[in-house]
Amino acid sequence: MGFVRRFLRNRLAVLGAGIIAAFLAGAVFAPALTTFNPIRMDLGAKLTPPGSTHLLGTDELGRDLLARILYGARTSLFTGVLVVAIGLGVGGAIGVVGGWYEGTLDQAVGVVVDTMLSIPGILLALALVAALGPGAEKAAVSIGIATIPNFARLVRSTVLSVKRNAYVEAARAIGAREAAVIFAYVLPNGIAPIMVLASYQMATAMLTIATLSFIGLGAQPPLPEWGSMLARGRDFVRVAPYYPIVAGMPIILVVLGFNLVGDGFRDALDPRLSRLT
Amino acid sequence: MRRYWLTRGLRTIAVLFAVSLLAFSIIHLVPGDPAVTLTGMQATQQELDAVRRSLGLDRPLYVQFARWIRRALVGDFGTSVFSGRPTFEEIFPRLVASLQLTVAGTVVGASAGLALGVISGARPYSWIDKGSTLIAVLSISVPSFWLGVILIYVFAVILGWFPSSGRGGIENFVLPGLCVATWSFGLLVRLTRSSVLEVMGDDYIRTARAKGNSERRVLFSHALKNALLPVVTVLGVQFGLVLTSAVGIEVVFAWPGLGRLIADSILARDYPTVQAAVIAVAVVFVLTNLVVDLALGYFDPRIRYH
Repeated sequence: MGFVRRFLRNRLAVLGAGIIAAFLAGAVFAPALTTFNPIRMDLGAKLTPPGSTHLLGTDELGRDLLARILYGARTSLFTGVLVVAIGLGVGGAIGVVGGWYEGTLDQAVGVVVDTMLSIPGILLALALVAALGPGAEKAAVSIGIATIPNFARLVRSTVLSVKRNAYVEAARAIGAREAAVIFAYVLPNGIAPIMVLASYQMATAMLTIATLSFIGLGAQPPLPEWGSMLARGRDFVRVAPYYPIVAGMPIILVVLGFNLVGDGFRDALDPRLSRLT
Repeated sequence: MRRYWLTRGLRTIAVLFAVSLLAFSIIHLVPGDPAVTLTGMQATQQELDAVRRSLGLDRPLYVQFARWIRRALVGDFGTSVFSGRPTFEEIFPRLVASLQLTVAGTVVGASAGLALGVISGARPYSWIDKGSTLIAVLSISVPSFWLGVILIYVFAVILGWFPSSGRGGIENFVLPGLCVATWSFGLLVRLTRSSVLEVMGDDYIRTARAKGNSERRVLFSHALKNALLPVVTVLGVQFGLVLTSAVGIEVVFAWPGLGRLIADSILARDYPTVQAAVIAVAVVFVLTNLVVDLALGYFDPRIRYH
């Protein structure tokens, strides 16, 4: 049974993919899904509990929480994708070069990667944020840089193991260009473990971005972003408990979604574990 | 054995060197004059000159770095821009507070996670396994600071059982400790489960069963010894990770820890404190991993000869 079919048979993984798809759709179609402006204040309606007008209630400035969650999905999902794009793009390139050519360059890069892996990623990100300054994109770039070594190590070991296959040797024997061999044979066959890591890293990235925004180092007001919404909501837990509860839901759901998808990829990748049923 | 200890020790020094380079670079990566960055916006010309002279900011970067390292080795990381006190004095009590919270939370969360992970891994796809897998993925998906806010609402605001902030007696540990514990719990359940599951499929386990050992004995005397090795490694990494990841929890519960100090110092542009705190966390992290690795190398010959 193929990778895709095994993944689709996993009900939790499909649920996770559905959650992610729903939030993506919410981000894209936000203007069609809500008539409220996520930034305009309406002090007459401040801290209105969930009801028929404001489905999820309003914040301390009277802004509709549903609108802020939908528009905030743009910021939060975009920054999450940015993190993984940086990590996978740069780390992947390092890993492919290292794994394919091996040799001295590979060893030198390996030392740097190992050293970076010996420092907690969030500490590295915090140090970079300290230098770059607060902001949603800057936080994402910092976390992205901190994830580079994780991808570099995995892609390298994947390329190392895939390139020993006979079909890779065959492709080279018939004279295919090196780049063609890497992109047409090596990467497609090593994509599964990379997808597992990318899903987990996406979950971690969303949590880390939310944490940085929560402590004031990520997205800055009035930009709607999930972590900073929760930071504001925390101050009103006594008078409007729905506010922090609602503000935390999108983070929980999306992170859960990516973790479930990661689990699904992992189990689909290793049929040995699922055969034990 | 000696070679293993030696290479491992050299790696530790290399990592600490890299961390110092990172911490040192922070002030040079910030746009603008490092002297202004270090002394703050209100500094007078004399203060700026004094800082330039004492740090040798007119000298080449490697000279500055060497000088910075020399001071760092004796615990001199400069003065906090914010309080005017040596950063080391600022850091130390924060580190203690962070360690207390991390140790308390990790011990509780990890032991519960370990126990449930072993049960799950030994009985895969049973109802208890399915339940604990679901709880585990939930507990690593919930942001710990959100959980903190909810716990405060339920246990401090509504029920009034525990204080919502501060660090005094044992009752102050319960809520933030629970947040730290939840995270390590979820992680440990998942890791232990897959590790046990994998080992249980090994040939030597089949042999142990074929020899007529009871299932309990196979699990506890044969499987766990190997299954728990990767778990211990990750536990060491996690411990260091929580030290900084707990920053959200520290903010929610007004816990005077190191993560919050880093965040506050970044916002206050107090770079000497950021530098010193980054080093402090890295040292604890690196030393924890060193101890774990040496212990594993001692117990598992395959690791030292690898």
